[in-house]
Amino acid sequence: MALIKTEALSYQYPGGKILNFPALQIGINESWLLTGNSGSGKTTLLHLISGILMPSSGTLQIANTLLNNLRPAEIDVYRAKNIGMVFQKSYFIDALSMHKNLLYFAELSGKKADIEFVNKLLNDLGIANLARKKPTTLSSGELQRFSIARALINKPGIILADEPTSSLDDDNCKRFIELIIGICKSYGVTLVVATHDARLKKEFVNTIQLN
Amino acid sequence: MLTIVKIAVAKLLHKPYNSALSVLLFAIGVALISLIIKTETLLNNQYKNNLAGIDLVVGAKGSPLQLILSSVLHIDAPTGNIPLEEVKRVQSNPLVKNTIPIALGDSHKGFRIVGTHTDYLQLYACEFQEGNSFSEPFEAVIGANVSKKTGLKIGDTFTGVHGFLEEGHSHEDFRYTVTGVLKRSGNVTDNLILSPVESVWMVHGHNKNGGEWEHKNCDCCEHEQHDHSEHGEEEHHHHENCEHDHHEHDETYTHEDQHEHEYEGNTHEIETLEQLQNKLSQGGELSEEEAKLYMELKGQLVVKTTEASEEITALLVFYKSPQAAISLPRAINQNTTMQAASPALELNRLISMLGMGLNTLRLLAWIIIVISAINIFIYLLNIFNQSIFELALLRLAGASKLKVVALLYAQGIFLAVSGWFIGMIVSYVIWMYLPQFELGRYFDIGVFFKELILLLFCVGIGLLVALIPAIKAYKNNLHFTLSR
Repeated sequence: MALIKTEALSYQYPGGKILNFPALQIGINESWLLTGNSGSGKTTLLHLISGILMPSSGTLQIANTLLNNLRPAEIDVYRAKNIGMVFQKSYFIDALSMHKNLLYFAELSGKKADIEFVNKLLNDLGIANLARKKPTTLSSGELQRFSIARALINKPGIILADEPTSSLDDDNCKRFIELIIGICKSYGVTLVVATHDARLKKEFVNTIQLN
Repeated sequence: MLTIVKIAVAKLLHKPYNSALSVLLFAIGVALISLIIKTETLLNNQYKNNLAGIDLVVGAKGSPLQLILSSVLHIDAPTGNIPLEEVKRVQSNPLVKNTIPIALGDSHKGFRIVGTHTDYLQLYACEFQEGNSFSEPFEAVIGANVSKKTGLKIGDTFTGVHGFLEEGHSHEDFRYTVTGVLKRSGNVTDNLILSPVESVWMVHGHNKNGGEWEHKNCDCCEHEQHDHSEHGEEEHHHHENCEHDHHEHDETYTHEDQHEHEYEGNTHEIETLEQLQNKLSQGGELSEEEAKLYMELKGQLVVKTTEASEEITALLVFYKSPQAAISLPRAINQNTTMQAASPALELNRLISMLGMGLNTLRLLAWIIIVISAINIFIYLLNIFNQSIFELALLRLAGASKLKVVALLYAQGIFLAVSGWFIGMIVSYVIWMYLPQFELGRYFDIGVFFKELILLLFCVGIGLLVALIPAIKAYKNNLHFTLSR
């Protein structure tokens, strides 16, 4: 059964440029690599799937919910509950400890944070001992692991990662990608990684190529 | 929404120096405005609570405003004393309905001892916390603040100190006994010690000799004036530091001239009169000049010998009809050695004069508030620019656009309300404890309605300065921000 299903999906930028995307059918607990040159629309496709952008035409269905029909406020709720995101650079609120960053992130989705789940997540990612620290005191590798924790905090069905390894060296890149794939498998989450990083190709079986 | 507020506060506390500077600047403006509000309210309260229907105050010549401040509000030095003989003439005037005497001169621990009549208690509708009114000399009724600050209670005795300072020459031989403690009334009586006029006369009568009376009632004179025998004869004539008039005298006379005339003149005139009387008693005849001189001297000495052995500081006058306001003050000012001043007119004049200064201060305060508001605006704009990706993350977490806007508004309001709160604290501390605002000691200042309006105004400023960052946050393109 497809968790993410698109048909004739396209997006027109305010400047007039139109991007057409291939039909997708991504199943539950699968890991996919989304590749393509710069400007091919990798980030745009991730933002369409996450509801940040609305398609100009075509349909986008996630877990039997047709996103085209949702109002902006409903999409905010849908995104918070169903989709986690990881970015190239790990931004957190500097004023808060990592632990509070995660808790407040969960609370903003409208539900009380599951402390036990948070602790388990931090232990699984090997960053439980860093939870009381502020973002500015952590390395980029540590912050990326917290990014995974944040993406998983609301127990979403999908994680979308946009160029997550671009700023990491080879060792950290390998460790990170193995970690995110492994943890998504263990938590039953579908993973879509958009990148032009050639180092990741061998880690994925399923690939979407954008032109 | 609580999470948004917690994040807003955390972000401000994360930059404590910037936040503190913004709050402090805002607080200075608020404190100034609060002090202005307090001053205006105090003046109005004094006006309302303390005039108590007093139509006219009669006292020694000098500044009319000083007369009102000293005799009605009890916050300035008296202009001098007036003889009881002249007072009686005012009392018997058909235009006068009632009068209340005020005799000042001493204090106890900074609280003024006022020699007066029991009518004074009725004038301010005083109620007793405990005890009764005074009826005999050296019985005293004390105000609520006097009781609280000095710890005096019914049956306690105390002595007065010359002048209105906390320390000075003590009249140890004359002990007052507390017969009553007044309930707090919010007017001058809270801070007064009331006793019969005779108490003041008896305290000061023992060393009273002629023209020195006024000196004794002047608290601005530093030198000791009681033990005159210890000074040279010339010493107690000098009164150079005294700014107000102590004597009503011919303008061509100097202060010293006045005294010398009274002393030397008296002795010489008495001798002359005695010589003339002896001449008459021995059957002699007086020449035309001598007869004229005899009549003059006799007349003067009659006046002097019948001169009031008692004096008071002021007389509170209540008119029988409004027409008295037209003729009585003028009659007193033109035909007597006293002056008459209208409390309503003088206090209006004072408020008007202070109003000009207060308006300048108010303008300065608002300029400070505007500058501090601009400072907060720039601070919030910087916060927005530096945390644009953080705000995008909040949107990803499920926060609506309005919640992100609320985050910025919460920061603006937090800074402004903190400024208000600290400004209030500063203002109250200044008001209650700094000697420049000694007036504050005399009155209880509650939370003013106007200060609460000021709080609403501060909230409005907080919303206004956060408006542009909030609009930018609302319009922020999530896709564009996350694609960077």
